[in-house]
Amino acid sequence: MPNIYFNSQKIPFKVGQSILDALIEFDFKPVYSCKKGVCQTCMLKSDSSQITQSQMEVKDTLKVQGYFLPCQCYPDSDISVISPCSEDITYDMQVSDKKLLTQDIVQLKLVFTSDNRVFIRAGQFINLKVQNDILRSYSVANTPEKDGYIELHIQKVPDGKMSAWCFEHANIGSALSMIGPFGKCIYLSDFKNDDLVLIGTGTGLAPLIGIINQALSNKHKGKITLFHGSRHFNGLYLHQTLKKLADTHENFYYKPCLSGEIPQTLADENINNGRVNKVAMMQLNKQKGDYKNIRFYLCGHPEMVKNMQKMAYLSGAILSKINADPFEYTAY
Amino acid sequence: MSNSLFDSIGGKDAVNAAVDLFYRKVLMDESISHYFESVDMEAQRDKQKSFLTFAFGGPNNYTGQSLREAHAPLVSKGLNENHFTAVAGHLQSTLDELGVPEDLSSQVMGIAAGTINDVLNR
Repeated sequence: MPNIYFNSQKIPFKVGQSILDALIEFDFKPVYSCKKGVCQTCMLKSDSSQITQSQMEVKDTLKVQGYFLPCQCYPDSDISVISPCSEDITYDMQVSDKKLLTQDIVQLKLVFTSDNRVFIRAGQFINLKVQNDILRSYSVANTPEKDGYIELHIQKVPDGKMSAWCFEHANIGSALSMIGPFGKCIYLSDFKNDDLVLIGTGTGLAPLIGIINQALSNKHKGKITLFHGSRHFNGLYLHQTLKKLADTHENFYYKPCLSGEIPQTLADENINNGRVNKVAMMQLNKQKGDYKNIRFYLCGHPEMVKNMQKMAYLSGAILSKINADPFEYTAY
Repeated sequence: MSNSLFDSIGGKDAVNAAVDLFYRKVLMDESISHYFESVDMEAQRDKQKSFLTFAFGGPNNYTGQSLREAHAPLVSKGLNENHFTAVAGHLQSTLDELGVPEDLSSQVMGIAAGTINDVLNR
């Protein structure tokens, strides 16, 4: 009799039985609802090739991470599966580089201290832990797999413990640990021909620039439009880099937006005045593009993300093509 | 399950075709949209999908109790019969838009109408 290894626990099963039914039979109390492959509540993760048939209804960005529906999975030999929330393994890391991007944003580069194989995609986030008790989420700003390090952009938060550590105490060689990665705000090579619209406020730019660089190095064919919003000009912290990127890639468009007043000195910078979601909706409507063909990436201020997601959906965008990552700031 | 309402209406495909039409109508209706706004729109859409699966006579785990618990916080924020009727109206127009024959759509509307006491916590 073959076995399912569920979070490493061994469960014998009968060939012809679904993984979900085996988990129910052996009283593992899995979460499930319809058992018909519709509701997706029973979703688990595996790297086995036996899950392919049970991934038909799973969203593409989850599929590549090994998510599948155990109610639709009938393996015929041993298989290891895990519940998505069991990834509580911490990895030791250290700071390999530190640079102030602005007065309020610091860039850290992190490397693993031991030979770990953690596959982190551009656009995902990790939970960072320092001094054993401070834990915060940060999006990666690069493609760690390619670069060999993780890049983070950390916004200074008044009274924020983690940002204080990053600004004041972090030095090259400082130790910290990470949990993750998490998040499905990612780019896949299947998206090559899609038009991408990326909208971010503040350091919500970090995951977006990771995705953009990955798409460009993948020789993305569709149009890539980035709207980056801030109140003040120094919040557009990659302005020069992004301008240069737009000059050298004909399918990449950079649209900086300031919600505050635009000073005369910036008159030549082609900055849009207004909140980034409003500017984006206005320009998208003007182009009369078909919303259902656009793939959205929204990161940053939760109100902006929520409003933009709703407006895009009501304008005809497909919800599974709207990747939303609201940044909830912890003010302590 | 042959000739069940769920199969006649088109099963999972019918639910998939209906869910965005229905959810967009609900979100665009300002008299009710605030009850449906959620940061996690995908989760909210999945709930609409389970509801439609239920109303289309499909496999589901809807119980009177779960409907009651899910809507109780909304009832305390003023959810009433007018809101229920508005949502039902959007369901009807979704079915009409999809060209669901009347004998089937009236069965769907019947199932939906049967939830009123649980939804309004009466």
